Amino acid sequence: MKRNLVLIILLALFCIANVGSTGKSSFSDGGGILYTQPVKSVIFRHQHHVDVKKISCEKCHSGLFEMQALLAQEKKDFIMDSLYKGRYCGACHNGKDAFASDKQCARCHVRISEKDVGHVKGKAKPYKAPVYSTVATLGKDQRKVPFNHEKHASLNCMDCHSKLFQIRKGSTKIALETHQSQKYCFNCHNGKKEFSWNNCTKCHQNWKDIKPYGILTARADRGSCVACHTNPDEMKSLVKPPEIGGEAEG
Amino acid sequence: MADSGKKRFLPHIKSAFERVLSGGWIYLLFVGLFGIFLLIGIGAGIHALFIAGSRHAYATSREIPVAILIATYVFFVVASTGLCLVSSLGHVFGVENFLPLAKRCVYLAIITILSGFLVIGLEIENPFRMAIYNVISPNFSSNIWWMGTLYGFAVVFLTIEFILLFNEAHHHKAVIAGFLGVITEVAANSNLGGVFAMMHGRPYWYGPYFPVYFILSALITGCAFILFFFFLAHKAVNKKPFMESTQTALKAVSKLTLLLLAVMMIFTAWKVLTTSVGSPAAAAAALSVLTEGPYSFNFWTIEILVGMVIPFVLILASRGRNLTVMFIAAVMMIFSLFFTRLDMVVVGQIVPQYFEVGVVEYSKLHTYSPSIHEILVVLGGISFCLLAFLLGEKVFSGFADSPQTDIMKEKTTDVAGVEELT
Amino acid sequence: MTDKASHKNIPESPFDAERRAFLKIGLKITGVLAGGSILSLVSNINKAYSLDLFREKYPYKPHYAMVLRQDRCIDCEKCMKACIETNHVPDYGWRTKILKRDLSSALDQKWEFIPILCNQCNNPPCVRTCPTTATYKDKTNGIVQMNNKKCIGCKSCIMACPYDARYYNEEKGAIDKCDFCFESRLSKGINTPACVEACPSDVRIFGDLSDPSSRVFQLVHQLQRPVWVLRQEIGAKPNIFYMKG
Repeated sequence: MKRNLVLIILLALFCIANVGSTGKSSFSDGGGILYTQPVKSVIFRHQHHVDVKKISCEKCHSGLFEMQALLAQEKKDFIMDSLYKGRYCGACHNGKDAFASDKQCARCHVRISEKDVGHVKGKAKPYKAPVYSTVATLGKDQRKVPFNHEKHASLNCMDCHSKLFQIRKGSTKIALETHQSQKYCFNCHNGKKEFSWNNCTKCHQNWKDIKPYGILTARADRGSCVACHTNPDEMKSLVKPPEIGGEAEG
Repeated sequence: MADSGKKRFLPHIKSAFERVLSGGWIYLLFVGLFGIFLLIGIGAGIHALFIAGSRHAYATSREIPVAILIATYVFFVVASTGLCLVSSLGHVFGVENFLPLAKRCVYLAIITILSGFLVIGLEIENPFRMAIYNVISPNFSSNIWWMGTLYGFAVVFLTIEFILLFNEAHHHKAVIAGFLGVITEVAANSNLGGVFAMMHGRPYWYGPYFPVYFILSALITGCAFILFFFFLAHKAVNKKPFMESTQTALKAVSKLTLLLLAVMMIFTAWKVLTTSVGSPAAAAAALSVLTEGPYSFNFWTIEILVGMVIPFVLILASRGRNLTVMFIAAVMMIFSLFFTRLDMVVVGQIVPQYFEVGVVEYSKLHTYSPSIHEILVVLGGISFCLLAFLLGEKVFSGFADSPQTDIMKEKTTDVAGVEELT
Repeated sequence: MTDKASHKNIPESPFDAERRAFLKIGLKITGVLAGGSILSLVSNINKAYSLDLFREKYPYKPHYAMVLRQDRCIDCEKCMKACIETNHVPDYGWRTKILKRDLSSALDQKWEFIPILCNQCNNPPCVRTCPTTATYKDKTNGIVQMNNKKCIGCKSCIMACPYDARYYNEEKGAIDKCDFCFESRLSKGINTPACVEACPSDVRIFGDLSDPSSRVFQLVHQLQRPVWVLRQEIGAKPNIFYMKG
């Protein structure tokens, strides 16, 4: 009883510690994003907001702003009125969390040379992809998968964080059967673009950790394992690659 | 009618032409040289104004709209006032020692004004409009209008006086014309100072100093021009020995120069001191450009040392007798005075108007250096002056055998022992 | 304008004294130029309109003026573009401009933008110095206008201007400067200059300083927020006022 209690407490602590951690490392957007529509020019510097003010990504990137740079200025409502109503920057720049949008106009409205910013319309994107070196952990307990951003650094943020992944913690739920769909990681990790999700240990690292959950899921589904494992007694290998039926094969 | 007119003037013109040609080949070489430079200068000015556009050809800009051409104009017309004033001491105000200077000085006063008009005619964008609208649409609150009008009248009066001076019978009329000439010259000169002094937007210039300074500077410039041109005329062009009366006159001029240089040094010292004290800041900033900034060499070396201190010492050492030393001093003064004018004009504009607001666009001093066109026009103006001087010496037979100086000779022999200026 | 400060026995702040001084733009100023008689601009107005407290001080009807709320200026340069388009300003000149003032030691915002244009001074040095009256102060509305055909291009007005508002326009063959879009808009019935209409932040407020119902009048005649002019010590008595807030 006591031993179980300790385990449960440890488990709980473990979950809390690992659930959806976001990066606190330096973020480079090449010097800033320069908005030149509808008026020129307004600068947004990630470095100030992320490194200095220590604002986590999902504060802005879970609905306020798309992760793709300069997308906001294409919208017709990217005007000061929207900010006063709490949209875009106005969600924080309301006088309470940060200075109000109708004060200190020239703090954001700048006269700046395009050479000094990373993102500006009409110019190529900055010299290298944003540096983001934290390892995020997806999932909890033994099923957790460490996700190394740096290994995926060749990608644009938008490649994953557009439709595939919300940054908000807890927004992405991946079950075993999800592995067969084209969603989330498996959009690329389907054996064609990148290594297949069949190589369980590539992400889950220790086979023994996830082994019980396969069985649990199978019991819950009543036989979903059979769809892939033609030899139900053998989990380690597949007789044949699973057919992801119905949707596009990728 | 025309024939009789021709008959009256033609022999005069012919003999004048012959006198010019008799000057010798060095003389004619210089005449030719100055003539060529004059034509080049006029050509450069016309090209700049009407073909290339002053924005491209001249180095002036929105921030420094007038520079070396205006400075040259100021240089010449101020010299004219000085020549007129100094010589008027003799033939208008009756100080006998200055009498021998009369004719040549009046002639020089005329040609210097004309040189100035030449240069400024090639500086303003629409010179032909000036002839019309200055007359039909005057602005009586404009110092420039008064200056232009008064210098125009001065040329007329001086020309009348000059013509009258050749005929002893018209001596009194010459005095009247001379008096009118002096009044218009001094008023015009003062208004020229006023052009700058009444611009309350330019604190370096604003105030009562410049109109007063200009009269003083006119006198000094006039003295320098007299020493310069009289020496050249007698030693280089006419190669005649100085008459006693002329030497006395030049000695008087040199003593006047000493006094004026001393006064000028006091003027300059107080201008520098009071402006440097601090307010308005733009004036102090402009002055610091002159005393310790990019123009400090111009100021300390050219204006003060070469223009005031060394000539003072030289003229003092010459005791009014050594004409060569006085000539050297005059050359230095003339050289320095040209740059004094340039400095005054440019330094007054070199500090940006928004300097005290502290904005990025106007945080540095403006820059100016003359363009080729401007330099050519300046050389053209100077060449006109020298060319007219050379021709005048021959055409008017060196001004030496004038009745005025004959009278002077009689007077000097009458009064015993007149050697010094009383 | 009643002396509110003395009523409350509160010492007058320097801003009040300054503002009162440069609102005294009646006879005293117009008479300065040439001893009083030549350019007495008030006489026409007095004949046409009844004298009351305001019009005594405002010799022009309408007395055009502009208030610039410079804390709202965001350097979008729409005013500059509108001016260039409306008045065919060449690329080597400008009629209105935005200046930037850096103050790196400031606590929050580290720079500000200051729009400048011709101040249509009540005591204009340029009008005084022009030899041919090619530039003159309009007797009706107080705008410092240009009569291009008379301009001889001597550029003494550019020298004289304390605000660098004038430049020589090669195409016109004369000096050019802001005229509150009089030629291009006001005289054609459009009530505002192009820059005022173009500004998205309501920085430029244009109107009749002598009309109590105009925004310009109301903004200048209040004591809470300071109102100033550029280079006030020059004494040109401008009609462009600056304020924040």
